[in-house]
Amino acid sequence: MQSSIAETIFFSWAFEPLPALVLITGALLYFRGWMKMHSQLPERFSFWRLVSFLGGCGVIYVALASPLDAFASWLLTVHMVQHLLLTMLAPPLLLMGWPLLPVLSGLPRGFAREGLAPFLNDSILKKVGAFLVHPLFAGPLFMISNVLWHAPIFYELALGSRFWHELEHIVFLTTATLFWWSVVQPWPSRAVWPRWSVIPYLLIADLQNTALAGFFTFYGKVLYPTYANAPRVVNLSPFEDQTAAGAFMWVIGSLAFLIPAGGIAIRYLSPTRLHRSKKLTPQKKYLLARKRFDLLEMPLVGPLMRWKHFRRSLQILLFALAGLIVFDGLFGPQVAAMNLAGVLPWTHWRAFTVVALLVAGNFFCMACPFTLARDVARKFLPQGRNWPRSLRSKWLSVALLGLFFWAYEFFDLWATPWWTAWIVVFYFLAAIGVDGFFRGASFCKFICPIGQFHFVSSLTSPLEVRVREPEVCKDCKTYDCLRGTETQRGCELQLFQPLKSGNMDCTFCLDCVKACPSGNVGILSVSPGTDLLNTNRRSSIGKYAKRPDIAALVLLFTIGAFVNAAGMVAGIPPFAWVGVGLLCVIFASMLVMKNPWREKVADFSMTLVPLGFAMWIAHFLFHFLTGALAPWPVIQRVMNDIGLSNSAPSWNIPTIVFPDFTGLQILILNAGCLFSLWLLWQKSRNTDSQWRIFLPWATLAIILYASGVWLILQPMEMRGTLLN
Amino acid sequence: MRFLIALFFLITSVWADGGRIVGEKTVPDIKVILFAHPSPLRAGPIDFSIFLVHVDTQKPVLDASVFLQGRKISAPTPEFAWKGPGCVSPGVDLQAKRGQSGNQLLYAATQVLPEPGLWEIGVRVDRCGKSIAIPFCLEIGRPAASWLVWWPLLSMIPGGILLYFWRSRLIRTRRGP
Repeated sequence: MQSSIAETIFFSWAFEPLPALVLITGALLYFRGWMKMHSQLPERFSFWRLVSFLGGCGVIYVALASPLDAFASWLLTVHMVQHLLLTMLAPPLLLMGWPLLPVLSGLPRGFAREGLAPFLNDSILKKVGAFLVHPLFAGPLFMISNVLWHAPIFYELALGSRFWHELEHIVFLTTATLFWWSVVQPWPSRAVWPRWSVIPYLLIADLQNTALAGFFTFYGKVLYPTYANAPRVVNLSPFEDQTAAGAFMWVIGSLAFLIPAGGIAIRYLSPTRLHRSKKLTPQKKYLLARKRFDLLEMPLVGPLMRWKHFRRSLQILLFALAGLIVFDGLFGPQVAAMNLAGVLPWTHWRAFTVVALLVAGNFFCMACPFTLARDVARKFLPQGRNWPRSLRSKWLSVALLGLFFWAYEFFDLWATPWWTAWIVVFYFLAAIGVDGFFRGASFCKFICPIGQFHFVSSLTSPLEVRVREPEVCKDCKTYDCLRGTETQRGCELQLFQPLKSGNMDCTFCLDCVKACPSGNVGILSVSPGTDLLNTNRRSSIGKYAKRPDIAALVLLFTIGAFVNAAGMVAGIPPFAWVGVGLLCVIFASMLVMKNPWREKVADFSMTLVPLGFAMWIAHFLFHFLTGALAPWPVIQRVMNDIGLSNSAPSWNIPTIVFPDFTGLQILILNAGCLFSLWLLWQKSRNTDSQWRIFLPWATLAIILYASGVWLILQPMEMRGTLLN
Repeated sequence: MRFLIALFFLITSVWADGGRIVGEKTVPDIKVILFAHPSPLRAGPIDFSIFLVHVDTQKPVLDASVFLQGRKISAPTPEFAWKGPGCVSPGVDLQAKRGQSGNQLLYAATQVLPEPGLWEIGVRVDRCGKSIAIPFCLEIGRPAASWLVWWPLLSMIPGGILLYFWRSRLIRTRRGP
């Protein structure tokens, strides 16, 4: 029994999504920047600096998600260890990674230069920064914060409220980072005092720590009522627990201060110090690596993606899944949550798609099973006609996407596996029917509503199929990326790589990559969404301002995101629907009829893509997390049906929506709204009347954002699950 | 291996340490301690966690089945009802399971109590073929206004806009007239 309790305590880990997200993002940025810095200055940015920074991130996560957090309000000793990790171990580890330059280099170049550099170069802010890390400020701040938070009134406040507890941790981590700054002195920052002054600095902090620890150890009464009333899971009385916590703080805290103080004293007195410092004084100038990230040059991933059967393998996999969905949809139980057709396409595929589009690119068009069927059918069908000139626009696909959005809600498609199966079947037939008789990828470019959804979303993706070195293409006379070669077809969507910009109409098929004889096409990193500001002509698309059909698609995509989410919420006021209808009529009349504003409307509509995409992500992630485990019993049921298993499916499955998920949804929407506002502002700067153009569009974006927040805060249907 | 699985797949739905103790009762053999979060309690989703201790051995009880049910005792107050996301309505037996919170010694579940007022939280403990029901009376306050709960996130939009204009001003100042 005892061992099982110990084991239970040991496994008391919690998943903390927001800290995890922040730490993973920080670690990835650092790693990206460290790679660049390491290649330029390998002596300064050695491997152990990377280990140190990642170790610091790991220590913070352990402090916040391990049993230390789960039992922090039961045992003061455990809580003390948690605080010591946040104040004595994590900050020095992070700072020893010399994070300034790697994190800055890891950020997207445009954001670092245009967004952060003005703040970093500002003389007042530099002085504020220098003041914050000055030993005379950071030292007392750290000690005062340490004493104040341990005062019973504040400590009890933190124990009783999640907000105050998290604030306490943030304050500990921040003040400790400022305190340790002077001790570690991360390069390229410069010390304001001579190095020896760190020794008394640390000793004074140790004195404060000793006094506080002594107070805990010898106080004689239990300081915090919460611990006096907490359940006892170990053989320690509340008083003994407090004494142990004090002793722990005393010993570990003192070691944390005295070890670096001793180390600095030894180095300072060492005769080799002078010699070493002389060797380091001439600073090497470094240049940030200019080379873009290329997915096709990554080890393992690159060769795999360049493998000639890579796309086919993905398509076959999705084709098999589509077959299963059709079969189960037609012949399985007609309860969405119990059928593969009710679960996989609506809760999982959509979520995976938007996440892939957000973090990488249009990989689901790459794996499209419908084009696999089309390619097979083309072996038997003529495929000789040109797609009618009058239909060479997005208008047909806009109508189909609008029809799909309407049918989805009106017929509850998500709840009817039978219809879902038939939609998949119709999709296969349409792809075969269109591309079997017409040249190129007419279905993808002019018809496929799913493809259009992906094309618009991928305008904010961080990866793009594009030319590696534009100079190489200047000498090209064969245009293989467009026309293809004898053995490899070129771009069926008529995108000529040297003139291509953005991801619109790109299915990531990689035909151009394989066709280019110079190997000059890759999947390169780009600043997400900034192509939306590009007013130049694009290959096969032209200027966005001259494409009202694409603008209509974007507006449908954006407004549809909010309307689709509203479909899951009861009690939408009628005036909201009237407002949406009115908005659609206004935009439709502006885009369809000839008028002086058409080009402006078409151009500015593009800036709403990030907002719409953010709403889709927030929405689809909700469905995914509520029904993430739903396929498991469905697979069990299918296995039973075909006689491969006898175990009864367990339909009582939990959701994995975590408490902070609503906050995460709002955060995603915030990012989308701010990005759209920024794009609007940038675009309107190039016009004669900046504010007159910016304000109406910004108002629309803010109204959509506010509606999105309101929708997120409403009770939503738990689609794809058996829950109410 | 189990450690890794626990580390990567443990997705908890309620607060890690259970929150504040809001009730404690001893029934034959077992002491039942009820934790709740947030503190003070407000209408809306409330994380309930139950810690069961064997009275004789003082060891945690880890092999019980625990169910929760919320029932409003005071008069209905729909005008103050909380309207927001949530999935389990009161009046339905809700199983509190170990592993829902970080602290694996606790049986935890999120129960939506939509209205403020006096509520009875019925805790049913099934163990060794016996079933024990323990009621706890809790005073639930009015729900917090949405803007009070979400202001840190909602202030990011005006904050972002302010930062942008500050940045533009810094650039203009540096370039000079």
